[in-house]
Amino acid sequence: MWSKLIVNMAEATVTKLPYDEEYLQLGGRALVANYFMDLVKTGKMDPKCDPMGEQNVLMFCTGVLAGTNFTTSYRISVGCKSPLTGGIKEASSGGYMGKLMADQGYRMITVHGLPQDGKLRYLHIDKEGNAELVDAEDLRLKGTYDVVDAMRERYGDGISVACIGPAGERLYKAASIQISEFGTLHPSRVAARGGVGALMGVKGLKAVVIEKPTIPYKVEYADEAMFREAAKELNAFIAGAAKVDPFHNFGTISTIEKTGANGILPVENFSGKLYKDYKKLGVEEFLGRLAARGGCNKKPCQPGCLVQCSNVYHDADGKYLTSGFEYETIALFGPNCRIDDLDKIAVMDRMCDDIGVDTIEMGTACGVAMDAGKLEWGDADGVIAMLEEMRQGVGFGPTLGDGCEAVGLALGAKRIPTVKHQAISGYDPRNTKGTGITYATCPQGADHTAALTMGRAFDDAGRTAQAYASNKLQVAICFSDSMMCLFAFSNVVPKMHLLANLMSGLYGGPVDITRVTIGLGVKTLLTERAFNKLAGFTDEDDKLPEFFLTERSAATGAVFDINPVEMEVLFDF
Amino acid sequence: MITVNERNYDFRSGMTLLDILKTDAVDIHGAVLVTLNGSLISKEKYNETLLNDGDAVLAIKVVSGG
Repeated sequence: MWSKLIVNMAEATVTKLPYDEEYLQLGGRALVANYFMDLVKTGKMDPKCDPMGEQNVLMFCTGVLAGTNFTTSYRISVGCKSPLTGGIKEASSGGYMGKLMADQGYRMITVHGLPQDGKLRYLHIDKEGNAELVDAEDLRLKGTYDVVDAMRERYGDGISVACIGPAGERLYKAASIQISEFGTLHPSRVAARGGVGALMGVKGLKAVVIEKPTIPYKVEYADEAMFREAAKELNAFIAGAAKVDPFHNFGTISTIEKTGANGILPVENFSGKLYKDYKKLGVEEFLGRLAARGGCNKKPCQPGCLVQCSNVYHDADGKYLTSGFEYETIALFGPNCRIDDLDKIAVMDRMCDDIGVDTIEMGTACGVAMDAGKLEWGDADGVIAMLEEMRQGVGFGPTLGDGCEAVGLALGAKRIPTVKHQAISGYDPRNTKGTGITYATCPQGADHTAALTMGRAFDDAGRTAQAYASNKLQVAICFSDSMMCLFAFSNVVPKMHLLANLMSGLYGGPVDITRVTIGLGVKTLLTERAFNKLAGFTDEDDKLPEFFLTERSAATGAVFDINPVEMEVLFDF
Repeated sequence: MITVNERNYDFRSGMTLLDILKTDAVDIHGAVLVTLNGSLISKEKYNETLLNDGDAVLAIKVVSGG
C-alpha cells in the first residue's frame, strides 16, 4: 500500500500515513488540482488566503504511473496556491526525486504550517523509509549546489535532493525549487514557476533529501500482464520516435531554429522584431561547444527516460558550468535581452539554478529592465551583476527576485509581458496565436508548457483554429502532466489509446480512454479554473497584456487579434 | 544502402546529402535539422557533403518546448 508523509513545520513533526484511496488514480497536476479543491471544500483553506500564510500547503507528489516501468513516469509535481499568481499552481519537474519517492512507497508529501521558532530545517528520508526534520541552520543562504554537496557528504551519492537557494529563503516570488538530476545530482531540474520556492522558504524547509531505499516499494497491479504489454508497446514506440526527436538529438535549444526564423522568438522585450543573429545561439554552435569542451547531450534526468533531452555544458576551460540548459532560458536571457553570448547565458543559467529562481521570470524581467532603461540592451555583465544582487538581497536584487511584473511596476514600464502576474515564456503570442490564447487562459498563468501550439495550428500567425488547438492541447497537457513527461507524451499521441490500458492494468476498471482524457484532463482544467474563480480571478485575468493587441510584430505585421468571444467558448466542454 | 529516418534507399557513387534529401519523402522545408551518422550538417553544406554506402541520415523537424 502506498503511503504519504504529513510534515508539520509549526510543530516540527513528520507523520507517515496510508495514502488516500480517493487519490489513488490521480497524480501530478490532476492530484494537485483535486487536493487543493478538497482543502477548500472541507474548509481547511480559504481560497483567498495569503499564499505565504499558514493555511497554504506545499505539496510534492508523483505522477499516477510512478513505480512502474513506463518511461518518464517519475516526474515530480510541486503544488500550492501560488505566491506569484495567487491561483492554483502545479510546477512539474524531472530529476531523481520522483523515482526515489516512489521507491520509498510515497506518493505524496504535504508540508503544513509555519515554523514557530524561525529555524531552518530539511526533511530527511533514510534508507529504511524513516522520515525526520533535521536542523539546517548550517545551510542558511547556501546556494543549491552547496546544499547538494553537503547532503552528498552526509548521505552518499544514492540520494535525491529538492532544495531552495537564497531566493527561496528571501521569499522572492520568483523563487524555484531545484531538483537534483539522476546520476550527476546537479540541482538543475526545476519546479520553476509560480514562486513555489518562496512557499518552501516561508515554511523554513531548506530541502527534501531522500535516500535510495534498501528495499524498494513494489507496486501492486490489478492486471500486471495488461500493464506490461501496453507499457512495452508504448516504450518501444517512444524509443523509435525519439530517434528523430529534436529534443533527443539536440535538446530543447533546437526550438530556436524555428522561432528565430519566424518571429516567434522574443526579441528586445517582445518587441516583435526578428533577431538575425539567432544562429549564434543555435544548435550548431551549441553542439560544437559541447563536443569541443567535453560537455554532452542526450542525458536522462530521470531513470528510464527514452527522450533524454538534458545536457551538460562546460565553459571555455572545459570545466562544468551548467546542465539542463534549455530553450526558454536561452531565448529570454538571449535575444529578449539582445544578448548572443551563449557562455554568458550559461553563467546566468547556473546562477539562477544556484540561487534557486525561475529563469523565465528572470529573462523576461531583465528584458523589461532593459526596455525601461535600467540596463543597456545586450549588457550581459549587467544582468549577471543584477543576479548577484538578488543572491545577496541588496540593491535592485529583491525587486528582480519578485519577478517580471515587480520589475516592470518598479521601473514604471508600460510593456510588461505577464498574465496572472506570471511571465510569458519564449514565444511571441502575436506569431503563435494559439500559444497566446494559452498564455491568457491557462489557470497556471502564462505557462511555458501548458499548450504551445506552434506548428500545430494551420498558420501560427493566423486566427484559424487557434482556440481549438489551444483547447485540445491544454486538456492533453493536463493529463500528460499527471502521468508522464510532456516530451515523451508528444511521441505517444498515435498510440494514446494505450494509456487507458496502463490505467486499467495498474488500477483495474474498464479500458476506457476517457479515464485519462476526461478524468485527468478536462476535469483537472475545470477544477483549476474553479479554484482560481474562488480565489478571486475573473475574465479580466484571462487577457494578454494590451501591447500585444496594439503593437504590430515587425517580423510579420501581426497583432494578437483573437477576440474575446473566441476565448469565451474555450472551456465549454 | 543509405538510410533516411530509418528507411532504406539505394546508394549511388557520388551521391550528395542534398541528392538523397531531394528524393526522399521527408519534408526538409522550414525548420528541419539534418544529421549524418549522428553529426549535425549545416544546410549550406548539404550539396557538398558526399555520402558513403551505409550512411545514416536523420531529418529532424523542430518542435516547440523547453
